[in-house]
Amino acid sequence: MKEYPKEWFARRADIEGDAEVGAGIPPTHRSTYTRPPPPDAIDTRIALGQFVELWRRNKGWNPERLANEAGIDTSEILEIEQDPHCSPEPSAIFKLAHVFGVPPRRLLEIAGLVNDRTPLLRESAIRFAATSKPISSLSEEEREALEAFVAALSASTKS
Amino acid sequence: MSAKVYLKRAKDGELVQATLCDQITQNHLDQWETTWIPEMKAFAKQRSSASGPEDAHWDWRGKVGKGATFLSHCSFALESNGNLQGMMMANTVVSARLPEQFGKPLVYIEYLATAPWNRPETSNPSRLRGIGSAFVLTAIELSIDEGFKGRVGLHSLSEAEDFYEVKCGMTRLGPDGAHQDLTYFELTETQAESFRRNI
Amino acid sequence: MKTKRTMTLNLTQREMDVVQELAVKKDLSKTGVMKLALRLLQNIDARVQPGKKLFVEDDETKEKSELVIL
Repeated sequence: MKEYPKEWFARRADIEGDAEVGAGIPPTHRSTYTRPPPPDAIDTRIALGQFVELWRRNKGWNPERLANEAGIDTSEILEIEQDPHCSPEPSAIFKLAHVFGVPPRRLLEIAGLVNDRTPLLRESAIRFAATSKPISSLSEEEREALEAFVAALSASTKS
Repeated sequence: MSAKVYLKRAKDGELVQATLCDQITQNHLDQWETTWIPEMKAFAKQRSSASGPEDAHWDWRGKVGKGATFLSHCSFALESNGNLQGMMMANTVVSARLPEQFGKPLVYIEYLATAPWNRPETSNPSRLRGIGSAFVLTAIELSIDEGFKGRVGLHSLSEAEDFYEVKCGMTRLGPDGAHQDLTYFELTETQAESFRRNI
Repeated sequence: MKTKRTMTLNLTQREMDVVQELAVKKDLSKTGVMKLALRLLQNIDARVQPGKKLFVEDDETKEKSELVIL
């Protein structure tokens, strides 16, 4: 790079001051622009929230532990679990899919973040949401529902 | 290869010499892991936040490793007092979107971050200012070397939009749905020249 | 290392015309065009492996068409 005089840098540092200067896609970015969810996403988001909660309770993890494992905010875990109207960040869903060992695309679909929806997956999600209840320890019924839903998420992507 | 640049220390306005390296090396990545990350975690703990700064979970080692084999990718590191002060990765096969330069190649800044102790929220009196400007200048010079006439593009983190629009004179193109709604900015040839001339 | 080496290129008239056309369109020198082409080829080659395809998507209609790379 061509050499610039000290004065150039001094003036630019004064202009820059204490500004934030980061650029690029951060994994934990929360945009100020809120994209409205697709009209039928609320159903599957209820399932998403319950799935996240049951999965971590099955592991004996609190929300903070799951957040640390996934590398996302604890507040995001809580929003996903409790508020089906919240629009989760795609990067957060991607990271959770990795922790859960399920295909990211499927979880993004349940989160209402992709346009192409798989009808069978939506049905599985609604069935799961109907049978699972958020109580402190998993009942046998909840455990079975959880396993069936994981199987549905992991089903062949050729459909 | 390296170039000499200067940064200003916040507490006394003193100009500190820094070195701009034209490649992020293993040593830089080791410093990122052993000095940046612990500092970000400490900051997060202090603020009772699970995440820390917006880029607290960036995997620089993965990003640099992935880009290293491609001619299109360039990386830069800024060092001062033996410490890593900032890093940047750029891509030279991206096309401009602004109508006046649509389709023409530019230097796209994929990632730019300063060391956590230099960030305004840390209130560290010894923080260094001018890192963003040094990197923008580097991107412009790279653009000129490549024949792209100073054209630069980037997606700004939300809190840095003012820096790029007002302080660097870049043109705002709005939130980009393909990049998690980060706002995309571009620098034209004329704007790049103004920046270089410090107008 | 950023030391440069020189290569002589023999192109047909048609190929030269395309280089010239792209140079004007992209506001690059002819060398710049060739370097950009090389970088793009390297990137595409790395991404398009067996089982993967490269598509161009119309922003408005969302219609996709495959860009066939041999």
